[in-house]
Amino acid sequence: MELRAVHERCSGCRACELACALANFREMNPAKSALGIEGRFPVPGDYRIHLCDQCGACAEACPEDAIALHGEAYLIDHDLCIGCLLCVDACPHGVLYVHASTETPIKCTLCGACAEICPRGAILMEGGA
Amino acid sequence: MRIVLHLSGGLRAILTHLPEEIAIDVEEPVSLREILVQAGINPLLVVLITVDGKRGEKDQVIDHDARIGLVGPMAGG
Amino acid sequence: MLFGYAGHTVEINLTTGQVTKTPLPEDLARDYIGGRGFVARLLWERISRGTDPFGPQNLLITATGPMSGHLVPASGKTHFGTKSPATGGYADSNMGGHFGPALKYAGYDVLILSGRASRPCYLFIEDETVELRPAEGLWGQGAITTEEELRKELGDEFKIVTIGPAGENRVRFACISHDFGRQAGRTGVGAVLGSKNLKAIAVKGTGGLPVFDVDGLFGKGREAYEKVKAKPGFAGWTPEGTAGITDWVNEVGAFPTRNFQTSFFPGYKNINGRAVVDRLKITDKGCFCCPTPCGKYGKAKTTLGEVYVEGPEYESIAMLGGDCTLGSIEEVAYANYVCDELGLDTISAGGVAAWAMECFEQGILTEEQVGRKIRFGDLESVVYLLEKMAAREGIGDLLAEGVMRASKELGQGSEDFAIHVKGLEWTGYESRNAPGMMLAYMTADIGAHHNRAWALGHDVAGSAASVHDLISAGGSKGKLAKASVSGKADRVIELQHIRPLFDCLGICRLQYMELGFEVENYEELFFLVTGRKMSWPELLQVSERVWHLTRSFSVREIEGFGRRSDYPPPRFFKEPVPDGPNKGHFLSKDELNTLLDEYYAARGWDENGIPTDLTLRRVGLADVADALSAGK
Repeated sequence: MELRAVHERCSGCRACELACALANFREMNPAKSALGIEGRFPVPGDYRIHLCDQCGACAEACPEDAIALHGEAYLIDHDLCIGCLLCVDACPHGVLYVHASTETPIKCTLCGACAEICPRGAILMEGGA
Repeated sequence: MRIVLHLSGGLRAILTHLPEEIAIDVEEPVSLREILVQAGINPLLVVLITVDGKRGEKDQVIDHDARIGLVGPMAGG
Repeated sequence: MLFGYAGHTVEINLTTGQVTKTPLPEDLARDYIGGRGFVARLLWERISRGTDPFGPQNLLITATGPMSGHLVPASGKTHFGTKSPATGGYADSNMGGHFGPALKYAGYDVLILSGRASRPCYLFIEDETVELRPAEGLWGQGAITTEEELRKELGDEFKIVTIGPAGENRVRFACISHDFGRQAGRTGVGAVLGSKNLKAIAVKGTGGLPVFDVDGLFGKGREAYEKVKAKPGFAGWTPEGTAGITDWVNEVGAFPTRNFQTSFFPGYKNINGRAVVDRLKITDKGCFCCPTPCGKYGKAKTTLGEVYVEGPEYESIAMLGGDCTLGSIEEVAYANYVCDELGLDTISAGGVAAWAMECFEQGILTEEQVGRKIRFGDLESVVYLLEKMAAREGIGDLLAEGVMRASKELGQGSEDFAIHVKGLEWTGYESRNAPGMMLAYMTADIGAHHNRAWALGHDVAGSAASVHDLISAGGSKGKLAKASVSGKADRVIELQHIRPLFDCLGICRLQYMELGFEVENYEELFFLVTGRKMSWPELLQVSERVWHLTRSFSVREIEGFGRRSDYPPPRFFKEPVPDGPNKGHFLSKDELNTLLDEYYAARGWDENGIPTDLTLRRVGLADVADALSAGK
């Protein structure tokens, strides 16, 4: 399973960000989502979807081995995380997020809530067993 | 060809005697405008037409089996 | 606990720089819901009678609704309000995009701006931090350019509103701009910010919102998106957005053409929704959480240059296209862009430009006064006028006053074709054969505006229901019979409660209006967000209360306000439509009075259109009733 972005379909609505935060934190707060929608205005006038592709760079960077592969997703173990934020710097896509309410960075869990809510078919959940 | 018209709630609120779906069989290619008149619908009441899910125009000619969506004048911005 | 709301009001006195935060009053939320409701109530309570719209005592109020920022379709709306520089009465304007949700995540439902800053500044809000920052370097820049600069400086997480030179120069129809293509367009809200020396507001919020039933809302919210997507009109409507009704409006002879001289534009297919999609569009651009992005962001190339612009949507097509008779979608888009960068409402600016061009045609304005020849259908003429208006330069200083004041000053018959009500320029529906729509425009609280009651469909349905008449009249592209003048009031009143209710809730009405998304969904979502069980009729009662309140505000603020304020321009009751599907039709003064008589009676207002004491008490406005009787 993996998430794929179809950027040209994105309208910038960010329902994905809300759905992500709701699914992973049960909170109505897009600042606690694990993906980002970037508007490129005024030129070229479109949106880019910044998704986690489970590349594992964060796991490699983690000095505490707090990030490990569980199934197809790299997940952060909150108990092991010391909040050093090296993973945030290491992420090549900038999709590890820091939020004041939690020491552990926010990372995509591959739950698929973003793909499910997207009314534009701009995020797709593909593959799978 | 068989042309099926689907009338929106807004349209049926005005044309209360018409059903949600009207099927019309035609031999020759025909414009949407003429199909509407045949079905007893004044084209002036239709704000938006879709042909097989895509936006259509009243003067468009239909030459195949088609599903036509009709939206009445309950819209606007 | 107020579920759904952020929980606080923040007020900034721009004169002193003082920031005051107060808990959102529970009775305000209970009785006025949010958004437009908050704006109306706060303006009534806080503005003292006789306040100068451009003075430091005027307030600019920004209010979100309880549903703004939640996972419900189209929850990005926010509402601005003030005492109107255009009409002198109640003013509000609704805006999409992402600003309202940001304000809520920062912790604020309502933002109140009072006073006047001594130098140009912008307001910076990041969660609890609220401060004024210098904006000398930004003053003078376009609205879009300003947002671009602030974005670069502050980062993408900041959601920003700006004004352009038009606002700075207090053009009476200057708008507030946001997100590279969205505006709070009408009534001169941008001019009020300009008068306060406030160039922009930038907000970042990282907090969450309290939800009554968060799991329930997540479930029903997701369902709501599925339901909207399943609507038959979903795939057909979205690609063109509101531009998609251009063809129909022409077919029914309601399209503003040549300063509303007539109501059918033969070249409409060159400026319709299909033209937008085929020739301009790059991206379907939408507001926060919207499943049906109505924004069409694209690129237009003209002899004057190439621009990127969100639009044109229907109103801009009507007022820059039909009303100024710009003949190609590229030219309409270019003029749209010029308005957006200057910070001008495309509707009023188009109407003012058209009035100027007709004055020139009739010799009432000379080449010397204008500074050059101008004519309908000429992009250079339109752009020239827009730039002059925004700068209040030369003829622009007169035009910046809006058609009501400009025609009063110019005289020579130009008042007959100054197309406005109460000082707010008319919008995209010519209504000489649409009595319901005419009534809607006459009685809209902010002045001539379609976005209170959209009654045109009702009017057309009445004249066009019988296809038999159509065929016997000789064909399928017919002339329209004269629409009936009676029985319009109840329908207009009903409609006048619906759209503004969405402005109170803080969400967009398009899924309901265009796609038929049912009201039961909104009842359910409202409950899951707020914990308040209110039926749709109960919610509409709040909207009804607000209607009488905004009328009362104008009664208090405008000397002699009443029936005389509700008439349309003489063109509409003296000149029959000269051509097109509605050739020969118009509404006489008698017919207009019949419409108003019926309307006032149904509203519970007296013969002069003033809300009665009984009516005000019935809708929960006893204090307003007391104030009006006491002459306050």
